[in-house]
Amino acid sequence: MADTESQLTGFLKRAAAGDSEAREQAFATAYDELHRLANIAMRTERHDHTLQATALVNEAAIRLLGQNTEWANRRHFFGIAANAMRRILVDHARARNAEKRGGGMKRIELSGHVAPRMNVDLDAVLTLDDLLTKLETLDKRKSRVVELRYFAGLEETQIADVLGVSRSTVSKDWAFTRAWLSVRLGELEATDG
Amino acid sequence: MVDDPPPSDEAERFARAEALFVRAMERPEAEREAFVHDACGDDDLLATEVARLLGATGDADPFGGVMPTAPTPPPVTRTANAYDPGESVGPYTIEKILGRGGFGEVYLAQQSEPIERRVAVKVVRSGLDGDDVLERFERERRTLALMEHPGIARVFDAGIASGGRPYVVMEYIDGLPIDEYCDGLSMPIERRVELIAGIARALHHAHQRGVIHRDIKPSNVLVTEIDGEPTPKLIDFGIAKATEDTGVAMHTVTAAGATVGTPQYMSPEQASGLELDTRSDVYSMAALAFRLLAGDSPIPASELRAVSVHEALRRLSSLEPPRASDRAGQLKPEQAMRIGLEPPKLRTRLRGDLDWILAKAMAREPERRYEAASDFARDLERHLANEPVEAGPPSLTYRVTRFAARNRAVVIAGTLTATALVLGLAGTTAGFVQAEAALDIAQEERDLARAALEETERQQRLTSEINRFFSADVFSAADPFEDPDPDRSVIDALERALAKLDGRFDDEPLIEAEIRNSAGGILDSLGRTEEAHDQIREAIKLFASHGSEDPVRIALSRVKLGSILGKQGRYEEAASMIRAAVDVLESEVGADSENFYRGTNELVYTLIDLGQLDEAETTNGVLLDAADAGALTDQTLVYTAYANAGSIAYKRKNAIDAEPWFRRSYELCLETHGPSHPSTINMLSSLAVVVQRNGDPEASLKMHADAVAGATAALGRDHPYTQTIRNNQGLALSALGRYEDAQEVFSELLLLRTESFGEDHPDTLVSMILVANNLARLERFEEAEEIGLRGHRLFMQTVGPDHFGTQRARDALVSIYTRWNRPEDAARWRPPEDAPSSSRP
Repeated sequence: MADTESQLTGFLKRAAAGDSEAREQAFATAYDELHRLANIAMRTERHDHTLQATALVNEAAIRLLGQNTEWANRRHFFGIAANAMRRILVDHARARNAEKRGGGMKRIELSGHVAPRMNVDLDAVLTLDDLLTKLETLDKRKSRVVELRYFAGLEETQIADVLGVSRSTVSKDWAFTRAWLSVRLGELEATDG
Repeated sequence: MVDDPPPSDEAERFARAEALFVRAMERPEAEREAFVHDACGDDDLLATEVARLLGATGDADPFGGVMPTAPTPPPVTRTANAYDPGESVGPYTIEKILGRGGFGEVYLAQQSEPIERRVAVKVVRSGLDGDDVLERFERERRTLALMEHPGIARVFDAGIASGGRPYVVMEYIDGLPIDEYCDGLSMPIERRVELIAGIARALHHAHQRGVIHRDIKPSNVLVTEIDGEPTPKLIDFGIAKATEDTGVAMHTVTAAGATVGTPQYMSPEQASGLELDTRSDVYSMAALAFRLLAGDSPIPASELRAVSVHEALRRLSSLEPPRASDRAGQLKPEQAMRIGLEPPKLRTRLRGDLDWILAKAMAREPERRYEAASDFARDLERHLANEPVEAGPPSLTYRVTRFAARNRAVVIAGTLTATALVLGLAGTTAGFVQAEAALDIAQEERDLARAALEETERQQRLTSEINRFFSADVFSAADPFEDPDPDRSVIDALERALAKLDGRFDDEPLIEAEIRNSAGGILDSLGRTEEAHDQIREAIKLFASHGSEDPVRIALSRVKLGSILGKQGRYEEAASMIRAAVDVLESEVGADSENFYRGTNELVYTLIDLGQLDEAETTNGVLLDAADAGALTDQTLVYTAYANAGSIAYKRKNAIDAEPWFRRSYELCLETHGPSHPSTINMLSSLAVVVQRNGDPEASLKMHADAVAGATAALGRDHPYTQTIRNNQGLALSALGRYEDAQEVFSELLLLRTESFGEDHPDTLVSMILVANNLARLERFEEAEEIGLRGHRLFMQTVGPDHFGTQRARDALVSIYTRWNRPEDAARWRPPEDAPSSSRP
């Protein structure tokens, strides 16, 4: 674990400095660990409380970076892990949809219960993912704000720190993006039904 | 990093929309539309987009439900997995980890001998000593093995793994926690009740074999489907007990985080660390039922999250759970829809039987609960069969006692609400004096009523009629056969009874007048100023229409009406009404009568409220002169006059002059009533506020602490009065920048008040606002926002947009968002200058 820890810290530092290969490495590490944790959460037949996706990111940070690592280290990690968490949920939702189409599954097969366990509405995850992909082309920073907020559960100050902007910027971005998401979501719902 | 591509057309339009949105948000709501229209020129598409964006600002977080952004739980120290797949625990081969907690870990494992099957192996955290561990485990295993019930997961084996860690081997249940299962299917109430009754029966089976579960909670009841039928199974039976026997005390486990999120289901005696019997399980079972039927656990996790485990346990041990229907009524629609009903319908559905059954099963004292889990099950089954349930509504006597107790609390609390608001958020002591005097006036009225009773037969009859009205008409309406909701609010009962008054006393308007006058007093103390106002006005009309008109009686009612007008903020009217009444009193009973002085005192309050401090000072001078001349026989009036003088000085921002007045007032109180009288404590608390203002924080905090100690000793920690004194202490701590300490006080008060008055009582709401404000100071903005919004919503629901409480809630939100550096949100909550009332949701 100690090896992973220092290795990851190294990747994160280099990624923060703009090294895209290091970023890939860090992302892969985060993805693997989150995936592993998510699997435990999804398959766990009993546990003391539902693990939320945001809690998983937190947990992954602790496991990969150690209990006492500074926020300075963790923030780079969160920046990457939010994106990894998004990937995992989207992949999972897609897989589930494929399964649905193939298997004609009805209401309550256990594998379908991954979502309630994760406290995540997988259909909405796909919608959100689409909207975020769109948002990335319009305003990259805003899409990052949403990612960090929804997938890593960060608060505004923390988001500001991760993105290296002021908190009021994050506040403004969030206020606007929230309305934007709401409007786009309304449009989708209107065309769907 | 990769450079961003040059902005596309679409991106440019997006940016323009954002810029307009931001600028529009800086404007008052009413002007936004016009602004957008002007700014967009003929670009209709842009105008539409911005308008829609603006319209969406009030929407809920669009994906908030997708990915809950609740504060992530604090990192819990994890021990590394003890076992990796493939390793052995005793004869079992680990497949994977299933879960983890402070107790240790649970693994899915493979058993090969004597039969091949998958099992759940719970490996208890290490740290056990003694040679007889295994023996005790074996004994426990044998006990557990006695249980043979389809609703209970079997316990197969127990042992000690290499490394000395004890383990228990259980039936592996491939199911979902019951709350997730039910909510996932939006299972209707009836089906839930059936499931719960079934689990209670299983629990009874265990109890008959002397096994107590001790940790019933949703995640310990797993539901699988057998032939399409949901089959709940209790797991982890007796594990807590077994681990405790081996030296891992319950509280140690808890402190280590094993039961994070679960104290909500703990019985009060368990939270207190007392001896447990099967009735503790009955409580937890009912708490679980509460969660499944009312959509939330009796004490929401959010209320316990902010405090230490130790503190949470302390609170749980002293709380009376709320009514299930009340909790259900507070759910968000989407939460209630998990049960398949809208909140109001769910609320109605739970009223009566289910409320009573849960209340009985969750009574604080074990002896008031069902004797056995099977009795609980039977009552639920009776309910399903539409038979009368054993758990009934509380008896009439019980209700009347409760009314009296609650009314007293509310009377005091009601008057003190003003104190907290005035003092806490506006910063004056006038409220104190009022509250203080109101107490004494109440006392005085009781004395008068007693004297009147002895006075004449007519008076006796009058009193008995009034009593009959309140006891028979108000409470008999609460008859269980007539009304399924016996524990309805005092206000409802009173209003219903008052509605039936018309015409009943046509021959005796005086009786009706007295009834309405008293009812007005009660409504006033319950904070229902509008209704109180109407009743007293009606009473005055009746007093006046009565043949032998009694000007003194009318004048006294006018004084009361005036004070109510004052509470409605109609100070001018209030002052002139009381002034006129005082004139009547002066001419009828003389300027040296007690009633005259009392009226005068009321006039002083109103003038202070009105800000006419000069006239207040002159008027109060009458009282001070009378006091100096020894004409005030009632010492309460004397120290009230001193306190008035102090308030006037304080209002003039002259805390230096105010201090000696409050000191004199306090000393006289002390002399008159002794140190533990509410008035004395109250004066001490007022004095503390002034002393603090005069720059002696240490002395002030000491006084606050003394006042709190005095109130606690005299009245108990939970008494509303004590709560107010503590509130002042919290305010002092906050004023001195000791926000952490203040937070502890405020959040505890919020909990206490929620428990004693309900969530929508003004006092509770005041606490909510104070907690929200203080959280903002601690930069815990998300929580501050959540609580602030809840306080505002409840204020809106209970008193409407124009009440000063609602305004304070809005102020608090403005201040929270301002601190949070979210000016646009702050702006939204700032009252529009041109509109008299807010149109905020």
